Parts: sequence; structure tokens; C-alpha cells
Amino acid sequence: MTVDLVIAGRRIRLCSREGVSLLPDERFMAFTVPDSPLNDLIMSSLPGISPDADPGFIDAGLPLSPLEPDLYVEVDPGTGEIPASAVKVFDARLMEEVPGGVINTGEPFWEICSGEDVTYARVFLKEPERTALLVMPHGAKRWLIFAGGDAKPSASPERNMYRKGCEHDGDSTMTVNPLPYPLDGLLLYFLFSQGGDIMIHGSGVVSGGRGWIFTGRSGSGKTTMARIFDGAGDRVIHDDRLVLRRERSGWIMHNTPVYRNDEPRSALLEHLWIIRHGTANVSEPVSGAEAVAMILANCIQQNWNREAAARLAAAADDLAAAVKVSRLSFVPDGTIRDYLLLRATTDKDLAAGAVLSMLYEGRSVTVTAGGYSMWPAIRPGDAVVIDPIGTRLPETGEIVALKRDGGYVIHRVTGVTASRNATLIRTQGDGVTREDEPSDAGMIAGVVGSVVRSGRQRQLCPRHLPRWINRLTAALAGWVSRIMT
Amino acid sequence: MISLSSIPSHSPSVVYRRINDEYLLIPLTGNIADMDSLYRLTETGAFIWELIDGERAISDITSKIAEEFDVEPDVAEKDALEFFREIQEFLHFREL
Repeated sequence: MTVDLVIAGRRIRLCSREGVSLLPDERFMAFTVPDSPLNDLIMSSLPGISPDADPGFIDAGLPLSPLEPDLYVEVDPGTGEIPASAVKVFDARLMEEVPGGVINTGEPFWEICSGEDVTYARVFLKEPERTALLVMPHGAKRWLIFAGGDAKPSASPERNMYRKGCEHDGDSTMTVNPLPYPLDGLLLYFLFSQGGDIMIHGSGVVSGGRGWIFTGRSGSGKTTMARIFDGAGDRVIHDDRLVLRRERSGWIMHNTPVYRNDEPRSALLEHLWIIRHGTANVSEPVSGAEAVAMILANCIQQNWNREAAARLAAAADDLAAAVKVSRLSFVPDGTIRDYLLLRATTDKDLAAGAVLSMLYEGRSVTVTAGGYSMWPAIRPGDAVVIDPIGTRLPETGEIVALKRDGGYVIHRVTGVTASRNATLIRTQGDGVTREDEPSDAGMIAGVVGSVVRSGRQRQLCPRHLPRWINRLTAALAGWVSRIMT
Repeated sequence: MISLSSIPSHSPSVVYRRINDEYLLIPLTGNIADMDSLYRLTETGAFIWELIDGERAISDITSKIAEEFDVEPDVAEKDALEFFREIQEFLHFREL
């Protein structure tokens, strides 16, 4: 019997001898494909991905599956042996989640042994207690799984949705789970690793046609991010683990079967965010060796193998050069999605409009300062947090976002004049010579509460230096900046 | 003890990769999910890393640093020794 799985665009053919039925866990169901070339030709002729499809919505699955398997795996129901000459190179113990963290139970979970031209992965299973073994001869496309002697007689063969080409009746057919957890993850890791792919801890989403991955240390907010985007109706590729593959169109993120109802999902990756919780939504681009290091620190890897480590570093280098990589501090609510969508737009009017509408909806917005008009309180590159002002009037000395010419400017209030008919707000930039035209109170869109500079949040003080000093330093800073660039 | 007469060579348990003007050093032991175990060499460090060939002593490397970066030999020696001590986990040393 054979079972073909296509995972992250790679076809894996599981084979067993006559009389042995293969029954993978239910989570593999949507990743199972017909193994007949005829079927594939028929499937390929179905509408798949049109050339003008939105690149953020590339679905993996049947039409993309290669005809020739990338890997053949012979599944034997018995128990395999690791030769005594093989050396154990990695030993993973069972970790258990407890309130407040994860503890090492000390129980064996899986181990990797290296023999001459063969790598062995052994997993320790329960119910019934047994071990299963994956044997990977180096350079070979045919691997071997010893499923651990847990074969059961197939009482009702019709239950076996994977069963194919098996002439035996129920009484003489054994059923084997070929990929018990965590053997499946190890098989995928070694398959993807040798193909130059990357497995990364992270959640992947597609929002506004853009593929984003949020990665970071445990507890950094990856699952929270997936939940926020899922709640907004965006497409979540996966919330835990992704495979990244370099293809002609760029780096594509794929999910793998982890949960019961997973189905193949893929999207073109545009931006990779290294996330952590913060008090404001602030991003900072990273590149070069720093970006590669940040990617590597979040990849699934076993760095006992020199060749695999070098291959992964090369892949991470290529990834960092091909997609944008940024650090991202975020507030775990809907504002982070708005922030990312806003900064992704290249249309300045649209961006300004979005800022204003978010403020009117009562939400805080973070924007990046671009000029010197508020030097030194606000400097180019500062992340400026604008809070909604509501119905109150601004006070003299406060910094406000002021609607102007379809967009907004950020200046300081120099006076508030209330009369019977209207309230006029006088404003001026700290670093400019001229006062603005007085504005109606309705033109004030929000108040600047703080800025984030070099990763530190700073509260803005209403007091400021004499204006002539600001003007001088602003002029100097602008001049130095022009020279430097 | 690392001294000017020590001859450094790259450790076999490190994978290194040049990225633009920098090097990323990846240890083949330990847990690299901990960012602290990865090491970035900036331009000057990368220059020194490329001079490490298992033949040159630190004193030879120091001369080249002084020449390349136009610094006094005693400053180059002090900086180089500090550098080698900092990245010694990625190197092997032998004495003549």
C-alpha cells in the first residue's frame, strides 16, 4: 500500500508491504493526495493559481504537487535497531507545560544517533509504551520507518480512508500509524533541512495581500498575533510552526500538519517581524548579519551537524536579503494590525487619512516622525504615539496632531483663545520661526503623549527650550543630517 | 593563556558565514535559540577572523591590524588580545 502526502510542496510517499495498511493520524488527512500520475494530470488541469493571482494568496495543495516524490519512506510495523557503532548526538527530554512555564520531566522523548553514512531518529512513545525508529541513509531518497510494533488487526477495512490496492481482507491486514508524533516532525525537519528549507517557530498571516511572519522567543506573542489577525478576518497560515521555501517567486511560507483540522496553506512572505510585547507599536528595520542572527535564533535546528548548520545559515542569509526583517514591539490588541497595515501603505494621503480615522475612532496611533519642525522634542525617526483627544480642548504647551491639507502636522499649542462663536487654537513647531494659521478646535485630531526613541519610551514634557535655541539646533541638526546622507 | 605568541585557528565546532562586511559565528554546540550564543564580528573583527589561518601568531596578526587601521602597535596588541579572549570559544590555540 502507498500513501502520498504533500507537505509544504514536497511529496512524501509512504509505502508498506502487502498486508500492512497505513493509517496516519487524522491531521494528515487534508495533506494526502492521489499517487497516480493520471490523477495528478487531471488535478493539474483544474483551475489552480492563475498568473495574475494575488501573490499573497498562493494556495499549496493538489495542483502544485510534484509528480515524482521527493522522498520514499518504507514503513515496517516492527521494531528497528540502532547499530551499537552509532553515536548519540542529540537527546531530547519530554517537556511538560505547567502553569507559568515549561518543565523538563527527564523522561526520554526522542534522540538522534549518527552512524556511518546513516542518521537515526528514535522516538519514545506511550500507549502502548514502545519506540519507533526513522532510518535516514545519507544522500538517499528512500528512508525507513520502524513503526514500533503497534500494528493492529484491521477489523473494518472500510474505515481506512487511506487504504489502497490492498487485496487482503480485514482479518489478515494489519494497520500501522506510520508517523506517530513526534516522529513526523523529525522526518519533516530532516527532509526540509536537506532541501535547504527553513523551519521556523512563528505565526504566519496574510493581511491586505501581504504575507507576514511573527517570530520570537517563547511568550513573545506569536499566538496572540495570529489570534488578532484571525479575529479581523485575515488568513492565518499557521500559529506555531512554518516551513519557508525559496521558490521562483520568492520565499513562500507553508504550514505543516500539526492540528486536527489543518489543511495545506501557503503564501508569499513579504516581511518577517521579530516580536516582543511593548507599551507602544514600534518597528525598527534590521539587516545583514543582525537579521540573519535573529532569524537563526528562531529556527528549528539541530546544530550538531556542521553541514546542516551551514546550509541553514546560507538559507537564512538568502531570506534576510530577499524579505524585509524588522524588530517589532507591539501592544496586544487590534492597534497592531492597523499599525502594520498603515506602515505598509505607500500612499501618503491614504496613510494620513487612516491615521485620522483611527484617532476619530478613539484609538491611539503610532507614526514615524520625518522632519525637524519639532526638534528637539521630536526627532526624525522617532515613533510618535498620538492619542485621541476626544471632546476636550488642548492645553498650551501640549503637542497635537493637527489636520492640514488632507493630512496632518504635529506642532505645539502656543495658545487657546475661546470666544462666544469659536475656539481658536494657536500652534507652532518648536524648531520653526513662524506660527501656524490659527485652527478651529475641530482641526485637532489627537495629542502626542510620548515618543519612542532607540527603543525607549519618553514622555513629552509640555515645557520647552526658548524658541530661538530650538530653531538654531533644528537648523544645525538638519544641516548635519543632509551632510551625513 | 592567550599571548602574542599564541597561534589561533578556527575551531571545528563553529560554522561561520560572511554577510556583507561582517561574520556570523554559529557554535555547533549548545542551544543557538539563545541569541547570546551567536556572535557577530563587525568589519574589524571580520578582518582579523580572515587572518586566522592556524599559521600566523597573534603578533603577526597584530602587525597587520596596525598597518591596516593605522594604529600604534601597542594599541593594536592590546585590542587584539582582548578580541581573541572574547572569541576564544570559537578558536583553538597552539604555541610554537
